[in-house]
Amino acid sequence: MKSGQSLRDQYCKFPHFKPNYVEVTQPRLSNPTCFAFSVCALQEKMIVCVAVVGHQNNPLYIQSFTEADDALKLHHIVHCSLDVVDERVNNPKKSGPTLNETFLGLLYPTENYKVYGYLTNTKVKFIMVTTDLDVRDADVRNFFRRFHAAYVDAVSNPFHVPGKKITSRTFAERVSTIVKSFGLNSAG
Amino acid sequence: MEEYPEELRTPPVALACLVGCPDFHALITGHLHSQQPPINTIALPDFSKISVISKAAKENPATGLGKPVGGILKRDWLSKHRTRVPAVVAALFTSDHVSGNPTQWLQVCTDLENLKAKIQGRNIKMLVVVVTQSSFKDDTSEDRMISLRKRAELDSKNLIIFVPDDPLELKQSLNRLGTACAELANTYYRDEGRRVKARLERKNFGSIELNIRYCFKVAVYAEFRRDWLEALKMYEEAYHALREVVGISTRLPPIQCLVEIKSIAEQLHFKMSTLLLHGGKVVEAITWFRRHINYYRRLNGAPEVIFLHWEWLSRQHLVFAQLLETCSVTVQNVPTTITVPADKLTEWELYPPYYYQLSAHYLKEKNSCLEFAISMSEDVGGIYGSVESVVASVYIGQFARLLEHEGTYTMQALTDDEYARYTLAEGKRFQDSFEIIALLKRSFEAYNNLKASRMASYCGVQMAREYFVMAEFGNAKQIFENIASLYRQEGWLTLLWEVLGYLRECSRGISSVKDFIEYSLEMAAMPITSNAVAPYFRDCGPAGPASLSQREKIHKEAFGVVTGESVTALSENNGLKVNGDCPLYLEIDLVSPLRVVLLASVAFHEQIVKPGARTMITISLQSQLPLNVEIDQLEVQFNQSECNFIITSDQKPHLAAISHVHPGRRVETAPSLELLTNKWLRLTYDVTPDQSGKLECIYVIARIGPNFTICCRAESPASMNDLPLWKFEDITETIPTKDPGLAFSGQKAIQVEESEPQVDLKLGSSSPALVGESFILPVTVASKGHAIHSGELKINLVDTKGGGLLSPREVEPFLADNLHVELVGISGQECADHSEANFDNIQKIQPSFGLISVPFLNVGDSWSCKLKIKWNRPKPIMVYVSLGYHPHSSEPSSQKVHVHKSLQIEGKTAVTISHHYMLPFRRDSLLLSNIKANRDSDHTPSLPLNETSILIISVKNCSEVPLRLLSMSLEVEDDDSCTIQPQEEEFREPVLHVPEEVFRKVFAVIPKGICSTLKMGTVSLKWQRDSGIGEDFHSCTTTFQVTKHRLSDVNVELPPLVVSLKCPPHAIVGNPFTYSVTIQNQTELLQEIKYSLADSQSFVSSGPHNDTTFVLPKSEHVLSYTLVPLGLGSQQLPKVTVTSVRYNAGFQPSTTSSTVFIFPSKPRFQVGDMGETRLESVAE
Repeated sequence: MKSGQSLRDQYCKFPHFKPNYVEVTQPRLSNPTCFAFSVCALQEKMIVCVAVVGHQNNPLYIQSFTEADDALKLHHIVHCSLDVVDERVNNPKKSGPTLNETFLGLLYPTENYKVYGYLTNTKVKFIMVTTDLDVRDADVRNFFRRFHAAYVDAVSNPFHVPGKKITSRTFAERVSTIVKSFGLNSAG
Repeated sequence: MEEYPEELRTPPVALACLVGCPDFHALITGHLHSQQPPINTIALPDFSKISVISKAAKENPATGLGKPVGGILKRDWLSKHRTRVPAVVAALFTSDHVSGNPTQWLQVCTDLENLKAKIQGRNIKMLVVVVTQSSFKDDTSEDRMISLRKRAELDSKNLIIFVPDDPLELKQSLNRLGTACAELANTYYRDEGRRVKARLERKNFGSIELNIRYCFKVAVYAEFRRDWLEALKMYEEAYHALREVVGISTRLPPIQCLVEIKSIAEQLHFKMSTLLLHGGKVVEAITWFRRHINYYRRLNGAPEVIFLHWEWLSRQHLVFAQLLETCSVTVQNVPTTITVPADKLTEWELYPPYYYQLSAHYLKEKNSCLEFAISMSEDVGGIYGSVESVVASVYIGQFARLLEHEGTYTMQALTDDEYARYTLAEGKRFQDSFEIIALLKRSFEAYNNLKASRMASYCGVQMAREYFVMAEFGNAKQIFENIASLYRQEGWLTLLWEVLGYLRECSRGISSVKDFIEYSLEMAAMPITSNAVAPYFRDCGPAGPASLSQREKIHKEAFGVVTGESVTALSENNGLKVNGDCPLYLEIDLVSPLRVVLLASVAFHEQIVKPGARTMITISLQSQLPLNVEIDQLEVQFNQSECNFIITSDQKPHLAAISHVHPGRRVETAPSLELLTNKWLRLTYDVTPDQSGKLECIYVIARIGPNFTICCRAESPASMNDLPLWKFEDITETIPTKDPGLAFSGQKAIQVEESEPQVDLKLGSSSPALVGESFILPVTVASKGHAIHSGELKINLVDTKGGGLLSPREVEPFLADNLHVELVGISGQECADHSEANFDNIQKIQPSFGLISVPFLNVGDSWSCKLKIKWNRPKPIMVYVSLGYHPHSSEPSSQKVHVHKSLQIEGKTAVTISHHYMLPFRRDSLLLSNIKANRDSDHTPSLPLNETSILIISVKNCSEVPLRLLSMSLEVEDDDSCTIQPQEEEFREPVLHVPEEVFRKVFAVIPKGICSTLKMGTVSLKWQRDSGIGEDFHSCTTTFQVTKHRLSDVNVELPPLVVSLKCPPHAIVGNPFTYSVTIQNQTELLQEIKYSLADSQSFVSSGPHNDTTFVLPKSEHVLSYTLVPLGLGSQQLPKVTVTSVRYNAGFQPSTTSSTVFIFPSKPRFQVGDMGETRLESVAE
């Protein structure tokens, strides 16, 4: 092991390597004290995946925004979160005061992600996965509001068949913008 | 959790020590252990062994302040206090020794002193037990006892007399001993705790490590005392203090330092979780756990040993899951009652599977990092030489090299590099896959129990992946198959693609060519149209990224295998081949996921067809495979196998493929049998069904190459389900047939009618039926082209309005005469045929249903029967007659032919009878009831007493046929009260009564007594149909029908006045005649009568004009006028108005009764004698 640089290069070739976990700017390994806090400094706080899920729990739109090779895993996470949505919708007793609330809140935290959910009046589900572990509720609500607006515009297209996947490019662009601005908002 | 030492896992138990008198140790130990809380004991047989509990020589912490601390917690400290350092020592002496000779006493004293010296350093509490027999209990010297207590520096309660040989005393002694032990132990732990705590409070520790250690110790002492709150508090304090060490400590090289910190944190957190969970504070425990993980997750350490970090994380989750699981029995209901604050806890965090799953995840992470680290280290160089003799050091979380040097062992600290090699070497020894699978399996099952099928599926995927990696394809396949169905159902393409990719490889692994092809085809037909390979879809299973090109690749590979053209080296190795020995047969039904591969929609162009007639059928095939597929041969199978046919391609006549098909099948050719992606291949042929019934297309079988067959169940376009997966795609939908109507309504089945019956069924009559008669309906069966075998004639009478009165079910509760219409009988005419033996005479008759068997009829024969139907009320009905017969033989297997005929028959009332009363001509009675009843019209007719009234009976023919009236009679119920002339009249010859004609008959009625409701009786009319029309009704002529009409009741009263007019029937102009009005007073009263005469231009009159006169009782008054007619023709007589003052009733003769005909001269009548005399008598 000659230097940290060469080691990192080899790491990156390895398929299971997670770049957002090992600090890129980590100094020499010989420095004994700084490793412990150096890890999360650059962990990006951003939305890594958003999805629109239809009535039969089928994905209408799913898009991941991650450089890592974990899109498949994000699909799994979104799919799993539907169980929580079902649970919340079927047992509304627990949510008590949040009756008639479209925002479902945090669905579940998993390894490095937090999954949030939103249920429209037409029972279409929005799922959002973020790596930001200290996200503010208001930010998420705001995000979902904008996302919902984008969705409504997309399905209002007379050429869109309800229940089919959303293939609109405009929608994709708009969602992408919303996702990017979410990162900015929470940073600021 | 199991890997933690026992002392950590279980709550601490106080420890006591017994010295001396070994005979009683078992007894006392048992008793102490069974106490609540229990006390463990160390039993030392004699005082020479007490050195085991003595304090080892150790530097005073105060003196060692300057020296750096070796570690945070000593590995054996807890176990030492659990097993070796007692809180209390019980010294047992026999009373013999205590009160024995001086030598013995001295020995006791020495032992006691030694013991005191040993335990002093540790502040261990002591109690003295003197064992004595119950008989010598009082023999013990009091002085010696006091002296003993003083020497031992004990309270009197801690000097216990132990009496083993009396049960009662023994129990008391044991109780006393137990209480004293518990008390002393409690004091000991409290004192120790206080001592350490005092140091904490004084901040009397040299380093933060000691701070942690002291906190830990205080907590453990608190636990010994069962002071859980204190323990929890101190553990938390230790945990917080530990965080301060992070990143500061330079005592150890960084890797090992972090390892030590994490080990300590783990242990502290474990203790806290246990305390919280056993205290029922689930939410707090989970919150703590979350905090714990969130903090330490970031401390992942150096990349070389990052696997240690993952292992640690995995262990945290596993242990917490296990704790949660063991506690969930007692605190199961807690989570649901807690209202979860919005952000705080989510559903799954309350359940163990969540943690099992994460534990597995981190373990997997560890595995991959470990593999990588091992491969790296192998590059760097050997690691084995330096890792031997590395052992766990005295401090928790530390390792050291054990060096043996001339029989003595010394610990030598490791460098980080050495440590890393050591952990790598250790890591290599363990195989984690099974553990990962076990974790995932627990999670999988638990999620399934929670009905979280998607979570469970994700666990399943991970589990199956693990099996796959271990090349356990059978297990992996089974799990993947279950999961695939969920993903299919919900249309998660990327997930399904991954799972199918694994399944494909599993099938390859277990050499199941059928599964391999099925999964390959399903993947190839998945709705993935993008060709752009997402760069981040790298971790996507063995099938590669989901893309169009990948689909095409899979398609090619699958067809390469089935056609045997390109047997790849890989598939050959695994026995994936399709050839003559092992042909491949796939079946696609309505729910198969392979419907996307081949969808067969079959539509007949008609709904009903006659047997033997041709009808068109369109077979439409569609495939979503990415590349075109050439079908060599198509076979269409019906439920009537003789209709099956085969379609071959024009371009490729595959005779070899046809060879194994039933010979004699129809073979059609089509220009091309190539299936294009998402395009319907439509083939239209004609079919000629022979059998009646349902003809249904069942299978469409496609053969590709000599050994590959796809059997596809036919579907009706009208009831075709959406394609799985594709239904969510935004693509244009196409219809299976060119004709859109057929695409929406086409059926794969057609109704084949029965063969045309060649038998005539005639229902004879068309005339309406009359109520009351037995209507005869002739039915004729005439064979034209079919012989009739075992024919059956069914007759149904049905109300045309759909009323239920004729249904057999409802008939039963009614009496027969309540039925409006009933089938009375069927009279069959025996066939002239000789085969009467075959004709077993079935005849069933119910009021609305009849069944009669028809004898065998040869071609050209005919047979008839008559239905006798009786109407009780007028009602139109339908008569349905159906004949079922076998045209060829009477075998039940052959097809029956049915002929249906129906006829509507009106049942009508033949005649209606009405009646009315009239007073005699020019004679009017004053009927008081008539005057009164003027107001309401609905009144019974009134007849004057003893006067002749006239009853007119009118009979109207309502039917459409002429009738003959035979007689009419009046049956009077009460003969005395009235006379009727004539009583009965038998017509001399029947009166022909044509439709709509009214026949009247006049009767004279003279009531004989005053009666307000005189029953007048019933009119009976006998009639029959006019038989002159046809001989069909010959049976009618013998019978007659009777129609009855009940006369309404009448009111008979005595008229007070009767006015009669008298005048000749005709007069001659210029000749005077007399016109008189007679007023008859029938009462006993004088009647005042006013009268007046209105002048008439046609007459010259003489007589009283108008006046008032009185008529005497029972007498009559005559107003007489002489009139000379002036005009000619029918003339009105001058009108006389008579008014009775008493009754306030006037009389005016009606126009008809006061009309007279005036001849110009005396008429000469040329009539017979009788008429003339009559007329003249009237005229005069």
